[in-house]
Amino acid sequence: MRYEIHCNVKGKWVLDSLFDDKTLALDEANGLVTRGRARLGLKVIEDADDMKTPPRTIFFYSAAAVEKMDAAKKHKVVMKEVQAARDDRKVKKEAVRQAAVVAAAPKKTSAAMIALRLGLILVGGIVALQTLRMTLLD
Amino acid sequence: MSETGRTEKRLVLRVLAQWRELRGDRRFPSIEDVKAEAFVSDWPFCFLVELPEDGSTPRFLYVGAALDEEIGRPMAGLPISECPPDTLLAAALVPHAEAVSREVPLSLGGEAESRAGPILYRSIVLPLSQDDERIDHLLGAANSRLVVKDGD
Repeated sequence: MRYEIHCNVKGKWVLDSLFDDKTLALDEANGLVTRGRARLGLKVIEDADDMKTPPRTIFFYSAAAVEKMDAAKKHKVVMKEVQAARDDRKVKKEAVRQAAVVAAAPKKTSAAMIALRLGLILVGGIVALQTLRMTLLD
Repeated sequence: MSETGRTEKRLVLRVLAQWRELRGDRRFPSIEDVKAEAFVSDWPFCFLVELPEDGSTPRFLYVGAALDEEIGRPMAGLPISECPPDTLLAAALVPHAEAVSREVPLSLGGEAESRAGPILYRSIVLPLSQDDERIDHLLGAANSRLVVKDGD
């Protein structure tokens, strides 16, 4: 079994190195990616060397795909922040609206106040009637 | 030595990392770039082969002490055809023609026969070029351990 590391150089796949050991090839490929030595892309192809089994890619790294994924992740984060800001604005707007509704509502007279007023009228009436009665009796 | 060279445990990947370091933006490093100091403790396990332009038999330019020791005589200056077959150096030389034709580093390993008995070895052959076109030298490295069979 052969393991071929191919690097993307200026848009073309170029054979970089050959191994007969999968672990070594994958470790080297991984090292190249993490050290930034495969800026555009890298792949490891497993070749059975038997003319029957077709070669297959067992490791693939594409800087463009990673950039696309990063961009999608960033977009997701930004959209989340925008939604959070929208929700926040909505909550604040609702609070302001509620306050305005409360301020605009007619002031309700409490039952105690009505009772007090009625009490005063009643007492006033009694006092007036008593005064009138006293005046008429004199 | 490169950052990978300091942290990597496997000889072939350390030497490959150093080769990449020496190469820079070129396709291949040149023989002048290869200095013993850069390979530190790996240098005794390395060898250099000169590939004459006229197509005559390649010659060893340098053979590390660890590889020479097994053979029992210095191999530097001798054609590679003089390399005894039952040695690690001979096993390490197997992929040299393919490394030249495909113009890439090539690492092979496996079981081989040595004078001390069966060994498990791992080798790498890396192309060098002075004009970045013709492969004029090869840098190689190899190490091994004896296979301990049940009952030994």
